[in-house]
Amino acid sequence: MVFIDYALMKMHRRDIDEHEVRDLLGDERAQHRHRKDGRSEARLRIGRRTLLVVYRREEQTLIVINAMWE
Amino acid sequence: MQLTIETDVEDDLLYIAFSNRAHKQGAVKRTVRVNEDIALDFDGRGSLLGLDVMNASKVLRASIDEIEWNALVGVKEAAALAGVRPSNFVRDYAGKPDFPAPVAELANGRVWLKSQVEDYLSARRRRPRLRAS
Repeated sequence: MVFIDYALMKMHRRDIDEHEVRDLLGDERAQHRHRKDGRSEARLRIGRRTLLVVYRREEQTLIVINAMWE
Repeated sequence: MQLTIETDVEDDLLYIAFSNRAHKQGAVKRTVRVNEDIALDFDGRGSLLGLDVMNASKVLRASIDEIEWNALVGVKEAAALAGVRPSNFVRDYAGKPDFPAPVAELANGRVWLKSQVEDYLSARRRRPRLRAS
């Protein structure tokens, strides 16, 4: 899994840890959906909040584009 | 107000931070998605900290590496352009009916297009001064 700098900056200010994103993308309870732009989104409720991660797949690697609390 | 623009050309991403506070860890307390591509970041007091745009070229209808950014200025920066103090700027410039309308009135204050402020100041300097008789 690779985080682009843009995603890391957003996660920093939104108080989202890398391990939370990794856990979400490895959690079978996460809901995934394809976006119109060809990327994917994954959502998982964590406590009282829902974490949303936008990612794309490049061969065997997941590239994390963005993340936010909903 | 210090605006910062962050871009990722490869992934077509754009973020406009409206305050230096936006860069601090955990500064964003709430994110509101406007649609699939646009999200707004707010601090704990409800002030807008940033605008997050995915697929920026489609949203802005221009490639983000080709956009000529027309800088936005707040009271402090506009006052510096006019060469006056911010309080005098509000009284002597921004308060005038012919001064350009702000593009936004945020919790942090009004912001104008820098080019419009510069055009106004340039025209004002060319204007003949009235003398009391």
